[in-house]
Amino acid sequence: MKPRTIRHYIKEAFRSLIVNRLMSFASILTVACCIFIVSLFYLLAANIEFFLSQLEDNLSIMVFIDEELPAAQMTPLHDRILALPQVRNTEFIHRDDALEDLIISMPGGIAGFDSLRYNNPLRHSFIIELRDLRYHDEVLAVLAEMPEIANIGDFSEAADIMTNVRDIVQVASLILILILALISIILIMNTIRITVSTRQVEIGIMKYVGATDWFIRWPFVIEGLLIGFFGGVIPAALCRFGYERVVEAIAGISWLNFIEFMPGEDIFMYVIPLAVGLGILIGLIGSLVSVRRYLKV
Amino acid sequence: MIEFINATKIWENGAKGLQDFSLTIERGEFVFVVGSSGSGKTSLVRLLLKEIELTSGRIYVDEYDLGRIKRRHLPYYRRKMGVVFQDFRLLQNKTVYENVAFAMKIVEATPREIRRAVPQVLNLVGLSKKAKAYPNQLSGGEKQRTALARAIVNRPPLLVADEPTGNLDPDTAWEIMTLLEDINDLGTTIVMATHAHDIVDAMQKRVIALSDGQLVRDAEGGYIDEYPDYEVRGR
Repeated sequence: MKPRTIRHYIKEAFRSLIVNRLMSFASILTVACCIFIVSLFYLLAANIEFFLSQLEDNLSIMVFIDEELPAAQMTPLHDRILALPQVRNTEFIHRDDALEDLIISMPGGIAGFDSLRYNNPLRHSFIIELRDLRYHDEVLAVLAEMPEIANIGDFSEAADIMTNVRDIVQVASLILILILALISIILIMNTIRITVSTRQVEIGIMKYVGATDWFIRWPFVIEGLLIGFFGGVIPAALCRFGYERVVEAIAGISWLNFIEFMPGEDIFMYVIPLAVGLGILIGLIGSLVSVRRYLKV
Repeated sequence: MIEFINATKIWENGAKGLQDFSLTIERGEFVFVVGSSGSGKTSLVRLLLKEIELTSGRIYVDEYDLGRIKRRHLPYYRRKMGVVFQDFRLLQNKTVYENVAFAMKIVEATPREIRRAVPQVLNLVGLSKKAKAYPNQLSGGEKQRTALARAIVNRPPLLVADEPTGNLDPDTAWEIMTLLEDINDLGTTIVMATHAHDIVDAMQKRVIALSDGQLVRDAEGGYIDEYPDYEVRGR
């Protein structure tokens, strides 16, 4: 392809965008609206998941060690638990520290509990953080087999609920995003098809004059790409700037400020390329499919 | 240059476009194709453009066997001919100059070649002063002259015209015919389908008369002088 032919394609694409500005605007708006909705939903789903994972981090298994276990055995036991592939971290809590924490947390202060310091009834313990709540039951089974462990602080019910909620959120958001993306593609293809069909006569003339299919197609493809690009950039920018405002606004509401949001940089690292990429892809597919119909002259 | 051998075109509804039609047109000829509506004129033109397929038989245009031409080679075949339609078929968003230049861009002519050839051809068709006008600013005759300029700018050996004077008043129609004759004098073969009796009678060129898709006359001269029966049906 000669450079002047490429220049011709690009010039034609921009020219067509401007000459058919009403249709171009409608197409860009359709792409932008659809991608905006998809992006919003993605932001929502990602934040729900983020919030749940924050909650999950607070759920850990607590095991109490048999009093008879010699102090020298404590580190090997710690290492064995930490070596489990499902375990992310293990923290040893000395029985004295545990007592101190308990005393401090009592509403009445230390009075009355002071004597316990000489006769600590608590056991040493480990706080075990899991890589994923799904492993809860497996890890419990392994821990139950360890003779050094006297007792296990169980939170099966909470873990089950959390896992279920997260599964539902994940599946529902995936399905909804897919449906929204599909609706967007259909809407956008229709809009682009209308744009192309208004130029059916033009395409026919080009064919009679001896234009190759690709000579006709390229300007449309570039036009579709531009429409998709603008249609992706607009919602990406809106979401980027809107996100911080919404997060600030919610943080200002006292009864909602327990909600933790994903940091903007983390989430938009994916959302911006995704929105723009999706826009370009939809624009490309839409224009290619739509032009195809009219090339058979 | 053009050869139809037992060419038959039957439409899906059973209507006959062409029936066992054989004809040879030599390079440099000017041929009128006449006949009433539904006689097969348009089928003949559309077959030449390779817009439709033959049902049986063969058509050759220069080295091309139209029945075997591949889809990807079709644009290169079409570049060998200029086409002029009754409804002009100009690109509405391009000026006269751009409409003509467009035909050259398609064949990847250099900007220099375009700058040289387009004014020449616009001068030939008498549209130099209208180069910057858009089709909706032109009269019917000017539109057809633009279409003619576009059809010949790449100097094709063949020009196919389908009722080129159909939408024009008699004076303008004659202007176009004079131009076509000039183009023919330069060596371009011209095949023109028409209803215009007066033009055919006056020009005294080869006339191919069709009726029900069949060749009913092939002779030099006027529209229907030798076929009174055809005259009744044709008019």
